Amino acid sequence: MGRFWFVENYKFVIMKTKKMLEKKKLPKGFKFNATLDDKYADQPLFKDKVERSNHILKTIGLPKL
Amino acid sequence: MLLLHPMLDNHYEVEISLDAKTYEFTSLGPKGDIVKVVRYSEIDVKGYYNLGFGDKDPITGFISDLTVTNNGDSQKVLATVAATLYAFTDTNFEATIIATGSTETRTRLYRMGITNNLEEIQKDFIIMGLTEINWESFRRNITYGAFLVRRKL
Repeated sequence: MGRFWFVENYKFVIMKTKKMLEKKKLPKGFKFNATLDDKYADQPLFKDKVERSNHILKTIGLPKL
Repeated sequence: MLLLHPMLDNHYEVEISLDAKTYEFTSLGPKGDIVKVVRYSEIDVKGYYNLGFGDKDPITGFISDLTVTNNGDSQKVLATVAATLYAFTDTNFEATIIATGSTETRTRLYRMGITNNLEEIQKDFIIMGLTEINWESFRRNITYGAFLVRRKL
């Protein structure tokens, strides 16, 4: 056991999670693409908008929902 | 909720990441095939997400929300983005999403899209608009700087 067991067990859990998610029903016209999870990891997507959203909540506060 | 509202049926085919935070679809029109990316990014307040979407540069692969494409399909693109909201909140049903336009023109476009479909959207979502001083329930003919939605449980 030890490290080898841990790595192999981790891979099994990830694979099983992916399969479970792929079975999850999606709206019509949608399909899973596992490569999208990390596809844009090298880009800070919409950083300005994220900062603006943070600024809005910081200055205006949370809405009363 | 697997069924989208009928108004959203006319949307592009979408690919969704396993974590339901990133979406990709292709706009088809006179300017060609334009890949568009939608991303829900959690912000500093837990459970609050920013909705961003933009065009992918075919040469650099860089995603920009400032590009003006004019591919003649703005309604279909907006419907597609709205459809991702359903998919995202199907998985993150307690999420609160904030959306702003990258320009005032775009914010106005989003406001018009919401206004034109307000009754239908309100069946599934709480919608709020940001005035200069606070959040309020979305009303027609008000200039809002940002929008906030949460799925009705």
